[in-house]
Amino acid sequence: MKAVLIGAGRMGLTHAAQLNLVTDFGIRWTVMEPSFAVRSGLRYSLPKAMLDNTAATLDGINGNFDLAVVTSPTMHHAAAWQALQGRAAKFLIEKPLRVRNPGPEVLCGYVLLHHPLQRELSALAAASPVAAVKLQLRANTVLGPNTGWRGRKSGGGGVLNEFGSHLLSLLVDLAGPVETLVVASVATVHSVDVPDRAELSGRAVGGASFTLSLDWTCPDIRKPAYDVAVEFVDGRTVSHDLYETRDGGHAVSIAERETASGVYLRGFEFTEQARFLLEHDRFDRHLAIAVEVDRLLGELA
Amino acid sequence: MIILGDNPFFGVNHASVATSKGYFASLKARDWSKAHATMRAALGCGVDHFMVSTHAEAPELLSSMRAEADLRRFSVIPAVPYLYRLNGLVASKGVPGAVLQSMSYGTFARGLAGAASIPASALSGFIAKEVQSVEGLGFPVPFVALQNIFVDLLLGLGQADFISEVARRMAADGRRLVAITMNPLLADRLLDPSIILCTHYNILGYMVQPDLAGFQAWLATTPRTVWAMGIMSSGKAKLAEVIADPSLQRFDSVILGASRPASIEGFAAAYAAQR
Repeated sequence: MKAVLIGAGRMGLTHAAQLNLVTDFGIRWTVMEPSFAVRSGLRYSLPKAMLDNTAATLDGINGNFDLAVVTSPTMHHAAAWQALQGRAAKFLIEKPLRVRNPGPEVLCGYVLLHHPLQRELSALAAASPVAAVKLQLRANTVLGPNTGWRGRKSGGGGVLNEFGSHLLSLLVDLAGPVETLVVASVATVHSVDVPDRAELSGRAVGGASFTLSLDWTCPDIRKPAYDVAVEFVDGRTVSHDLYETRDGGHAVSIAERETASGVYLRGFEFTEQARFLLEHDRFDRHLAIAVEVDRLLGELA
Repeated sequence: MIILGDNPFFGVNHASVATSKGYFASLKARDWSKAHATMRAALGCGVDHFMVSTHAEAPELLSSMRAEADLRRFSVIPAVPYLYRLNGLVASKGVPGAVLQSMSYGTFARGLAGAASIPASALSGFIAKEVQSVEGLGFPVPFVALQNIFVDLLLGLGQADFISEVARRMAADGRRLVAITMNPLLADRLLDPSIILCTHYNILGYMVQPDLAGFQAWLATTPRTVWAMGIMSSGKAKLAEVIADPSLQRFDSVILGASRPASIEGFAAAYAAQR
């Protein structure tokens, strides 16, 4: 298999390693990376059987590919899509998508959609009418003065941009396209001019109401903590936090089920996303979710 | 050998957000007395090795152990690098600043002089600096563990030789490398046989790769030294069933994270009886 990686940063290398593991090193890579130092480092260290070529710009990429993995900064996604459309059989583009008229061969990297507990809840939501969705994310990302790019509107920072897209992807997965989205409250605690806390609410086209609560100023937790709850029209409530599913009063931990994914890097959802990418040629439903999240992020901006 | 793990002392639980939050709250209160009580119980059971990730709070815990005479009997196995701390360092000081602050130059230079590559010498220098900080508190460091997110990323990028080279540099300093990996069969295939593998295993099959049966079949035949972590599935597995599992006896060591003295005492007694 021939693949091209656009942007060899932390996420780019993680995706490349993940795909190598899932295919047992069956991929030959072309890497487009503007940094001379990174390109040189890759040429020096990657096995010859793994690396075909490197390029500094999109213009320097030649030939056709089975797969394109786009992990360059979001503002460059569209250029990568434009340069490689028709030359790569399928694409993985990191979130948010920010590509105009993407084809069905594009999978956007909303990785939580591939988590086994989210997939179970999504299947339930597809089978029964949903009355309400409640999503919460708490993190300890910002506990003091936040004056870097993450704390500034000009840098694309703020809890809505950083974590909001993940929650919105889960919302659209469970409730479908959104009809109305209202910012109920925002608060800037440590950042310069972007929200550190936000409460959103609204209604999906299908009729379900929803609330989204985001707060990345929580000192009492160690890692980002999600809470995803769906209330069905029949009164049943099912929720998960990526570790445990609760159905009424009954809770089942993910540790109580066999969760082998063959190979593992960073999380089940990353392996499942890589496998999903390799096993399918069209990603209509996932693409529709990514496009809808792009629209909602545009509204919020 | 049973090795005491540090996860419960730092609010890490791989199966429950709620449990993790509870532990983390006690950590933020800087109350190490519960950790000390569990450590004393471990020593009472003959468990005198402690594996600890080198995150920001680790020096505080190790210093608190240093202040208790009996807890100085532990040998420490640092698990490096702690990537979140490294990320933070890079964010605040840039890559050059982070490298300058994190490196043992003597080890780096010895690596180059010994014909090791620049990256392997640099990582050896980084590991040496972490080891020095632990040894500086008076704890012996017979093993150094490489974190799984780092090992598995390197394996996925075809860098097994690089890990093996770092292991050889460490062996020259009298230490053994433990590669923590979530992909044990692949690591076994690619890494130097002298490297100890430490991997996730439990009878529930939770995070066991490639799958429970495949793992057990491999474990039964590999000549490599293998350590197990996660054997209690973050408290979800039953002790009697864990101990009765024939595969458990195939591991050279098991890492046990325990938050209460009774947990380590109960496990150690049952483990010894079974062996």
